[in-house]
Amino acid sequence: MSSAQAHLELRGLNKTYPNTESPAVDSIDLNVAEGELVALLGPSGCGKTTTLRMVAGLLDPSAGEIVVNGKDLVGTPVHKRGMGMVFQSYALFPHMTVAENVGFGLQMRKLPRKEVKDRVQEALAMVQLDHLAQRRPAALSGGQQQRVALARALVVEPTLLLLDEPLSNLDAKLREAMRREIKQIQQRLGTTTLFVTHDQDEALDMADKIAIMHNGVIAQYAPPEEIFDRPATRFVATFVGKANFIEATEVVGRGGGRYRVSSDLLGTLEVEGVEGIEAAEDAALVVRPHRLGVRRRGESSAPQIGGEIVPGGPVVPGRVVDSAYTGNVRSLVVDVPDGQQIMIDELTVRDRALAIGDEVEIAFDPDDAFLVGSR
Amino acid sequence: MLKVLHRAMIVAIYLFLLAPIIVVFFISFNSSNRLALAFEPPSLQWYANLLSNQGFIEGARVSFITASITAIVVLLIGVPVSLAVARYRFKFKGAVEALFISPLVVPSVVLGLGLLLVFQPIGLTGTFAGIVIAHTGITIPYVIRTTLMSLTTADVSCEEAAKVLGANSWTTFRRITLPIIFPGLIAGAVMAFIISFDEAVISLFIAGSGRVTLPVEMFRYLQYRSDPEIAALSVVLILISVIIVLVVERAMGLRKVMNG
Repeated sequence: MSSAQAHLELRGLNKTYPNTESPAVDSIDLNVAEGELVALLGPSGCGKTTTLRMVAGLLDPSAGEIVVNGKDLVGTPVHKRGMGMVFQSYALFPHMTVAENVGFGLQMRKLPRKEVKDRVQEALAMVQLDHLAQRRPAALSGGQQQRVALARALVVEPTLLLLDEPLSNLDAKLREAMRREIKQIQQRLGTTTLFVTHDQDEALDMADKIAIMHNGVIAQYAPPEEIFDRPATRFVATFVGKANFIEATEVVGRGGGRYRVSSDLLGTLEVEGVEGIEAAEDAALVVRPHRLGVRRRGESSAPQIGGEIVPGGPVVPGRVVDSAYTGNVRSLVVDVPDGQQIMIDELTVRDRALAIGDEVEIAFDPDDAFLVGSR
Repeated sequence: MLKVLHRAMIVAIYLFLLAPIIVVFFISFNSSNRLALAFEPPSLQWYANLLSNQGFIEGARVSFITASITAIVVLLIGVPVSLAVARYRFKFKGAVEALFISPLVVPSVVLGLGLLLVFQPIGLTGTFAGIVIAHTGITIPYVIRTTLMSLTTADVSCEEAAKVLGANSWTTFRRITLPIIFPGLIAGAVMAFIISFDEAVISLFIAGSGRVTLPVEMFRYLQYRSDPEIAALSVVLILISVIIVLVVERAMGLRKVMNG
């Protein structure tokens, strides 16, 4: 199996349902390079599934273009788009065997019977299910059904592979194994893939790039590390990972995305941030809970728990008001002077734990703070 | 003790439900020539008489033909209507659905009279066509119900998956939708057949002096004669129903069929 590498571009794609005020998908632009796996990530109702269904041709856009390899597909009926899709429910045909399911798309392409048989065999071998070819879908486990759905979508050598929450019906262990398997197969075949999920771990783990969708628009489109370290909006910062927000009182641009930021809690720091922030109003520093260091107040040594401390960085006093233990990590909530609460995730260390009521000091590395604006 | 009561209760309920059938069964094998419970020596003469009763044989022929055609016609109308209602949005959808379900709530006598008044001037009384039209009207709600049930419980994404894989609408229907809803269609068609075969009131109204279905023939027979031949016929009809149910059950599992 191989794949002609396809380039996908969405231009001003819009879907407004009748009798609704705001569009479900609000004129989005998206550029997916050949062979890339892009995740559409967002909460339910953000427009990610609507977008995927428009690309598949299952839904007509209200406006905009879906350009694959330079050709606009809007108006091309779904059965002539040559895509492969895996549905959340897998949508295996219950009255056909596994082999018949996988061969359906090839039959529709009117390939000779011999070739259909060979390619079905090859596709099932790829997902390690060749021994179950004659079973009915109902006789398979969830993970096996998922693999059949994947084989059925890929056997036709689709221009694009579309995955609609393909892992959400699997249990946690299996889900992680399938993530790796899908990613490996996708990389080997080089099929350009659009992947809808509401699970940030899935998106961070699998995607080359993530498009965070919120209220029908793309809030940020970037590789996983950038999404996490340099969130474009407050929404992105809270949706992917946990985030502390420290409200800014004064922001002075220094050029090149650097700012001098003052806040009641941290004084004045020089940090990186989203480009183009002009006012302190609604601007805030994002600090990830696991990048904070914490120590019992009065202990002279640098914190031995949590993040690395830069000498001379800001140190904030506080009191632990909540503590949740999850094995690897202890999640603390600390009251700090300006009436705010700061979340801290510290890796657990044997025989050393902070308890509720402990007076502590929190230390920041300014490089771990990132300024986001009002959007 | 409670368990015994429980058992007794179940037996009583079954007896109550089955009593008419048991009585008919008993009478049909009795050599007494009155249509009443009697304890004469057993006999098969009433069954033998059935075979020479031209009225019943003709009635059965008419009923069989009209019930079969009705079952097919309701499928041909009911399936597209159900598909439209289940899969598409259009104006007056609720009205369309209500229209096809409404024969269920109109009393048979009213329907029969109405049909008679319409059929009389256009010469449809006492014809195959007339009976089929009438029976199609009263059985279509059942077919639409069972088909709609199958369509709404079927996974729509199966149809979408087929389309993405390159199947056009017709191929998708033929290769995916139809096989998935097939048990529901059979259930609806069998129900339509049995209801049509069994229907007396409307058939009586529109029979005129022409074609007469078996239930009408039986009704007329009872007006002038009262011998156990009618009981023998009833037993035969019961057996036919049982056979149909068993065949459907064997072929695809009745419970599955009835649940769509």
